[in-house]
Amino acid sequence: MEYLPREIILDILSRLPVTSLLQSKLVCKAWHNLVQDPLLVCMHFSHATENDPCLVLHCDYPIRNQLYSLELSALGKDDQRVNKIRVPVLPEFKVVGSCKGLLYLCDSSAKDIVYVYNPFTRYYIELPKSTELLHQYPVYGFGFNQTTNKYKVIKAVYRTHLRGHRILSFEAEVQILTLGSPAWRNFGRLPYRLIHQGPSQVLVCGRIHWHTWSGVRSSCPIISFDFEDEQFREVPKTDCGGLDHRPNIQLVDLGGCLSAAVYNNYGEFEIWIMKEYNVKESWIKEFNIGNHVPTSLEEVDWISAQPFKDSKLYGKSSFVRVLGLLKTGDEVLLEYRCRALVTCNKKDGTFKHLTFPGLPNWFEVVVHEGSLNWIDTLVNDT
Amino acid sequence: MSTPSSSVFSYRVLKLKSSDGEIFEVKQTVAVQSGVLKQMMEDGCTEGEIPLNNVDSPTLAKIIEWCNKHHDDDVEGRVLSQEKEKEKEKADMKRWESEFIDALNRDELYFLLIGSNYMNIKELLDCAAQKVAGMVKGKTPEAIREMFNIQSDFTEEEEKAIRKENQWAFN
Repeated sequence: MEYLPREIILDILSRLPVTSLLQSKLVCKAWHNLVQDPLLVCMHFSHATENDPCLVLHCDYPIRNQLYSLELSALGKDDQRVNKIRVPVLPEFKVVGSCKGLLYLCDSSAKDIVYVYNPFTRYYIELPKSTELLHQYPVYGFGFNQTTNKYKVIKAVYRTHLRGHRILSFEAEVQILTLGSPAWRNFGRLPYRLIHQGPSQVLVCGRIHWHTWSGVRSSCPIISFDFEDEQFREVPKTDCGGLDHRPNIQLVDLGGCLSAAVYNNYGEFEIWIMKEYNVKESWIKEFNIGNHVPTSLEEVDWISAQPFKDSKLYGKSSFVRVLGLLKTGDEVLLEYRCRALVTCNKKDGTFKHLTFPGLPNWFEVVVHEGSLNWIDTLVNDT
Repeated sequence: MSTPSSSVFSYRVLKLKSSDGEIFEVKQTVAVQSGVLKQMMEDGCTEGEIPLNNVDSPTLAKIIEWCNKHHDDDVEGRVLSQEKEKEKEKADMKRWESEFIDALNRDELYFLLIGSNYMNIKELLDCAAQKVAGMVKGKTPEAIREMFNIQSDFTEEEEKAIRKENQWAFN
């Protein structure tokens, strides 16, 4: 294999998970340089959908604010393991989202400090501050404009009433920041109440998607924001399966299709996929998760888990989250109650509980495109 | 040059000459999978033997086997009414591809990479590169060096520095 041309080596490297890429850096000087080639970063992204996803796990208990990485594409090999990631300077943070190799981190002590961070190179930058956030509730979206190769952040700010956080206005003031530029731009007002979905951003077709809440059940559309033309649009929902009127819909990207997970009338968990983007008739029910609970989760030792109740994950620990598709296309990856990773196969309806050495007991998963991009070039160049 | 009608076009045969001088006859409709041959056909310069100096005869035989299979099973030409049938064809093809690639030894795989890259057969190159990537995945730098027959040109200090910088990956 010694005399393979450069383009073939690049092709091979671009199909490797990040941990393997880091190993490849040590092969020789030529490979070391190839691994840092900006071309490889682009090629790596283009193969991301052919591989199983890379996960970043955010833990809060017993260690506060610890991140781990788990590359499922390394599956089948003995070295599959959960790696600790060194965390940047923020003492308290939440992961707002992930886009093209970068995590968007936000100071959770309500100060307006936000970072973008590559957990694999550990490079990060602090973003410019916007306005004062007192009595405000922001919903963030972090995305990428393919045409200009720029990352963008959109922030919808809702004002809360002075006392209590429950009462929010249904109209947001929107600001946009293009990474690399010094300040936020005012975009204007948005007459929708966007629902923040935790760290699972739904980026499909260059657009980010939110479910909305209007106070009236029948008029809660899915809203998209296009990072290229900076327009908000409504995305059609099917009239079936309760998607049209249920408020607690979880949006997710499944294999590049906008999808929605929802509990049906019988309390069973289902996943609907919009096979063709923006075509209302193309929504179909793809997975029937039902009421499955992994057997290992049935016996919780709540006494020893008592301190976990102070963790900020505790409030989320009753949910099932849909994370994404495995590359087989038949299996969907689920996070159960911040404690287990399970796959469900649509063909035979079977479930598989995935366990890994070093997997923390409590975690929140962020699906992440692992990359070795140099944040400074991506943010400042071009 | 007059353009041949499509029916005539499909029966024409190209003569490919491997680096070791063996001649292989390939239908034009099969050969279009190679970007290089396709370009030559469009330019009308496929008369006589086409020398492929970077591809030896065992490799060329393999490449043609791949192209024939992908031509024969080309789903576009046929009407597959059932979505299921289409999916089954796809799955069968996937299985055939992985059996084809898995049967190659390391040298054969190497020459196939070079050959498919030279002839610009994207699907085959993808498949071969994916296979090699699978072999590299999870390997230590030492094992990768052995696999590609590469000598390290790092000094001890340099190697130490890179290991330190990415320590978590080398646990």
